[in-house]
Amino acid sequence: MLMRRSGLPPCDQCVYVLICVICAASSVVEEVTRSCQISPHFYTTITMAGAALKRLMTEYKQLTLNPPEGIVAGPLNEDNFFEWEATISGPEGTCFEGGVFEAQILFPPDYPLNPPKMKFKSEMFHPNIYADGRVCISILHAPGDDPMGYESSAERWSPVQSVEKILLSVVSMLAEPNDESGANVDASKMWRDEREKFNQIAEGIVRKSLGLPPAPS
Amino acid sequence: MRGFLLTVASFGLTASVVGHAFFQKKQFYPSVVYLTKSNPSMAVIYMQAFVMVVLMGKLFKTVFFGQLRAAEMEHLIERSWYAVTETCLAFTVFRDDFSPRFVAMFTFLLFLKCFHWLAEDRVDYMERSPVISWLFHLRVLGLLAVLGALDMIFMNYAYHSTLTKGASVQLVFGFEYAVLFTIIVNISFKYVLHTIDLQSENPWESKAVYMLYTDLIMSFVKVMLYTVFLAIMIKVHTFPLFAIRPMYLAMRSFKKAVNDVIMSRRAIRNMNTLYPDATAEDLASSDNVCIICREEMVTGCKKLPCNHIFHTSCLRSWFQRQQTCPTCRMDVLRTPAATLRAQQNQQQQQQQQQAQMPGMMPPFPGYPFWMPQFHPGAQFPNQQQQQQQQQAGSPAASQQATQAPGGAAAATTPAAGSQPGDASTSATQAAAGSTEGVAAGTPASPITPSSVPPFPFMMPPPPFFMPPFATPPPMPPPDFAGLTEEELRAMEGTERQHLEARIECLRSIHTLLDAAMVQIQQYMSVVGELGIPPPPPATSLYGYTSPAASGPATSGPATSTTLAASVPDSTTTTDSADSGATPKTSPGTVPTLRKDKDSSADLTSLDGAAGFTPPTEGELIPEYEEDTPEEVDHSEIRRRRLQRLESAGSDNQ
Repeated sequence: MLMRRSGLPPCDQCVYVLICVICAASSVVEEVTRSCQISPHFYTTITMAGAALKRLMTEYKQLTLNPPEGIVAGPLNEDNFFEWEATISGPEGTCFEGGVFEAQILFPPDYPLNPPKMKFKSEMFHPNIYADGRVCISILHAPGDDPMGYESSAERWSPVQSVEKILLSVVSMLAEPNDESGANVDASKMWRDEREKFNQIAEGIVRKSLGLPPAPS
Repeated sequence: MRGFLLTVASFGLTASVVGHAFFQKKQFYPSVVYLTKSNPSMAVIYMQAFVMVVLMGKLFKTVFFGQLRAAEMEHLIERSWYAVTETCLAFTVFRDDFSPRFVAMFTFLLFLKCFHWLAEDRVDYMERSPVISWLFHLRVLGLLAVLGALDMIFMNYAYHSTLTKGASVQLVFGFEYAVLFTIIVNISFKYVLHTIDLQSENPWESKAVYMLYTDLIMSFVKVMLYTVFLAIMIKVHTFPLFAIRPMYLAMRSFKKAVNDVIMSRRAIRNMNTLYPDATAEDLASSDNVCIICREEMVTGCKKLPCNHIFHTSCLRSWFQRQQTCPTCRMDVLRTPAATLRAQQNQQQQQQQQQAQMPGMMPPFPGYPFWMPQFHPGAQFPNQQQQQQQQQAGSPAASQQATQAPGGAAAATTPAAGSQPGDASTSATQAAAGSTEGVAAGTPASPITPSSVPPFPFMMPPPPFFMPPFATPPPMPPPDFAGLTEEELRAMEGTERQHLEARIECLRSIHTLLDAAMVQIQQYMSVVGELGIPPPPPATSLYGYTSPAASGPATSGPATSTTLAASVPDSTTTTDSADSGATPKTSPGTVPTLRKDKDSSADLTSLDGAAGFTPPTEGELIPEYEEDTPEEVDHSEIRRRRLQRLESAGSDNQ
């Protein structure tokens, strides 16, 4: 009777034992992998893979060797060259002057053949930047689709373009918004009709990007 | 952190519930019975089971993937939502079978699906990361093996259960696992391809092609699976609403794969047939960096009609997406296609003519000469250049030049010869055209009628296709001071033959014209039926026929050029208009001059009598053998031809 009561493992007991084992094992494995990641040279092989990766590496090298003024860009993590971070300073003489804006650039696996996607991490208020930060310029659009229905294919993406050219066009877009293709309709309207107000908001954004408190009004 | 708290809370709850039961009943079995009877305790235990499943998932994730990247996580969550919704839909179909066991199986399926997606993402990541560790390979291999084995086991189980117990919910599981298994196979293929690619220093060129075909086959298998599943489900149960979305996705990806394969094949074919390999000089003259991959170009490069050079493999993958030059966005398919179309047009016309008048087709020695006045806007630079070289270089021409200094031949030959070798620019072409015109026209002024007889070139252009801007007929050299007695006598002796040849030529022209009229009337009737509006007139069939007809007449010494000069006067008006109508803008592609092959034979027959050396076949026939792309729009060809013929007809009426 006693044997039957406690000896046979009923499912509940099994479950509890299993849980304990799982918890322990998962923490151990995590620990092991973390320790592995600390000394990667021991077991990693660095290989050159894929035309896209090669090209991104070349572009990164060029960008670091002679960076364009006001632009810093590079991969977030050297393991993955397909996610970049860019820092763009607001062009001088515009309402965005002085601001430092962070953006994320995501490259497709077939990169030079398809355009990357660019998204501002900092808050932006600009006729050509969507509210969620996505940048809307023709150079970032694949020639096939025409979201705005007015761009000629000559302005669209082609492998001739590069990260540097994209960032330079973004800078010039910051300087001269194109209010005809409003990604942010409020911003385009304000840019056209109430330039004073737009400049005020832009100033607020610049202060925010620098981590300053809003300007006293 | 929140997850950790939840886990701890769940463990605590379970422990308290179980402890409470033991504390109340003191013995094991009564406490188990008590637990299973009480709903709140069961709820707590189910929660615990769920937490455990999540923990299991985390364990496997850590074992096989380590840290998930942000993109993978995003992907996973997005897909999980769809999977959960679909599972809920599936529950509605199988609500009769609804039981904890059933829920457990669906949960397990969901987890396996998540792992498949993660594996897919991971293997795709191989292409993106410069650092691929051995641990990575181990993990991927282990994962693929485990997932594959699990898929097989469940498929097997579902199959046997369906056989023994009849169609049940196991059918759904069977198909789900079969689909998952195709994913595993696909991932394995990709993994192998990526691994091979990683081994080599340079990117593996044909990898893209293998990937395309793997995708094609796998998506086809998937579509077939879904179709069979749909059919069986409709027969056994009801319409499987939950399978619609994945089925649609599978079909879309299959369509995309088919499209990709077609585009790729087309791109490869175009690469191989239309565009020449870049030579070493081409590479040296450019900046030597492929704009697509930003790598140096050493070998394996192609040159587009716009003179831009790229790696063959880079260009191929770009052409899969787009048929434009990456640098200047010139439409590479359109341009050669248009030229080929025009070429086909001509060939077809010739064939038709030949078919209609067997034996009546005279040779075409004059054919190359319709070019000079063709169109200064520069249509066939290569051809023109070649003609000039012919004129300048052929022994016949030089001989004539010595025999008849100051004559038309002499005028033409130095003019042509003086052209720089690279007559490909439009400026030089225009110049060439004008020089030819001068050669044709200006010798007329110093001529005296008495000097005509020895030269049988006085054939007036047939009046019925006298062009509006006809220049005066070309004249012979003003005097024969440079000729010896023998030469003059020889010229006189051949005069009769020349005249005969000329008359013969006129007869052939007449016949040809009659035939052409018949043809035009036929075409007009066709056009009338089709109701295509007539384009502006100014084109004519005779552009092709009359130079041909002048062929036999080119028998006298020094006449080949003069004749050539005279014939274009009458004919090239039509041709220039013609060329204006058809956009043949590719400098690299020129219509085939195959017909000259036929004519050269006749030319040689005239050789002895005429003192005219027919250019050798190699010289005369600039051969541009081009594979006609199948995609040339046939209706377009038809339309153009009809237009041309119709306008020709209206010209004549």
